[in-house]
Amino acid sequence: MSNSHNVVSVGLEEVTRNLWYPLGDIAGLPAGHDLQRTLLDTTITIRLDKDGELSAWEGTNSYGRGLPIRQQFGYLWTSLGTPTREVFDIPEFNHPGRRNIHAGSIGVHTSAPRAVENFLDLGHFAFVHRDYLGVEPFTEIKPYRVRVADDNTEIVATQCYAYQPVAALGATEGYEAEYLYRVPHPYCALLYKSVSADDARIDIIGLFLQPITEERVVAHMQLSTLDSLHSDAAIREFQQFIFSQDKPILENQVPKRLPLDIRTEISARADATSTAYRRWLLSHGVRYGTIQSELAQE
Amino acid sequence: MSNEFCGSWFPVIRAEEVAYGHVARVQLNGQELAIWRDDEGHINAWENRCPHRGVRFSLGHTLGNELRCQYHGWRFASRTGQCTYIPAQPGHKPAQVVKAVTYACLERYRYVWVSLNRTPAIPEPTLPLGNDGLIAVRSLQINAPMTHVITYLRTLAKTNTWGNDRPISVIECQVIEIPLDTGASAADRLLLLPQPASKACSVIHGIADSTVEDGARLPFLRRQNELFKRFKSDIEQ
Repeated sequence: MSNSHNVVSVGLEEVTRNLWYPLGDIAGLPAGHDLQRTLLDTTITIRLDKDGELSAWEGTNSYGRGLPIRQQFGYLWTSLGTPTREVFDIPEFNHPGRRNIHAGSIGVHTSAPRAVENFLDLGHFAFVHRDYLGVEPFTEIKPYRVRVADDNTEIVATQCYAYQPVAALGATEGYEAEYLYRVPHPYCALLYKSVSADDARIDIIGLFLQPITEERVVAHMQLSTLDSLHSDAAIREFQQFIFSQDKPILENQVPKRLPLDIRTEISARADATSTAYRRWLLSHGVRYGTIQSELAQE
Repeated sequence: MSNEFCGSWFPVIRAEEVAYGHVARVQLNGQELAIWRDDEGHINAWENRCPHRGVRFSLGHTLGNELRCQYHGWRFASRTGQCTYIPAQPGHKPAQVVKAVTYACLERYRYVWVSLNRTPAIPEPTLPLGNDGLIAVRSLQINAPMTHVITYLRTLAKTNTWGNDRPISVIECQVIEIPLDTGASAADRLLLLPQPASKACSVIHGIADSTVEDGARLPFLRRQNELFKRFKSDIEQ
């Protein structure tokens, strides 16, 4: 098992270096301090001036190479390379009535792709989130649709259904929730979810991963909701509770890096999104946080 | 006495630690293992990862004669490791290739023994012991490679600086025998069995062949524990 997973480091691939990465919630940054962060094994410093100006540079002293920054979904984003596109879009984010809540930034000892896969996974609800996002015997995953959209830039899974006892904070009865997943970035994923049977309310949950190393991440979680009843704190707490159930699973996956050769781990029909994600990473040449075995070297 | 099992079979955990319903986690030669007992008492030693998404089986739990993975509830049969049920597709019988990786294991002399060697011809472990009157003393992790542990124990046997009339000796290839001065019987002894956990880490297991009254058991174990602590401190120094 473990011996075959030693992969010789060949340096960070360009495609990954050129991506935008989240560094956390801007509203939570203390002003007037230089703050050290780690991204892709690289130390960077970010600063929010007293007048609200944001900046970021490589290293710990201000002579370091300046890094590009963006503000998107309330988060600060940067890149170590030269991004070829802007940060992906969530068109619904600015719709009237939506509350966009930073639900937490949580350190996890796993690779970014393992965390993305867990987020895209329908089959674990009844076991990891028992009595909330799933319950036995409602474990069957009906066939759903997965496609690669927009010139291979995004994976979209639709018509995903799961019976959920407590689909969201305040849910009073179980029902079959419908999910739509988007993977617009190798280390970021979104889910759109209907949260009750009787209205059209769709919540959007974003998981944006800041890879610290290949086997360690900070998971930034965002919730965009039409919930008008509960406080930010209560909504945040529910989301963190759900994530606290995933964290021990993620930290006990062996190996921590995601094997992209789909023969390495056995998949079932319900893993269609996961399988598509592995192929998609491979097609883009994303290596960081993955294991590419003989297949990639053939 | 046959010692062909040496270097192949190793004790990995005291048998009594593998309680019904529990999935224990051990390491042998760098291979992480999930050790569990089915309701018929049969011991299993499996690679400690589900073949589906790699989650450690030791997070899961047993359902009588199956082990259930904690992540997606996939069930695997005792003995064969064959997947029997995938909750996401309850109507489909899992394919034969969906299996946990299983290793040869057995329960003997109060310990669970595992062989990572896949050749079935390796003889089972045999020590000059009966099965009665044995006490699994303890298993202590030593932060040193197996070779250091063996060198230390062999030196102990060679120099025999134990302050005891009867000699410390090497029996079998890696098993050390230390005479015990319990007063109960002149034949009382402690066997030390080293196990390679990983490159940097070993475990010493102890089996006492001694008649100890129930009331004297705790002081007896405490004395042996002092011995183990001395080994650890000497070897790790």
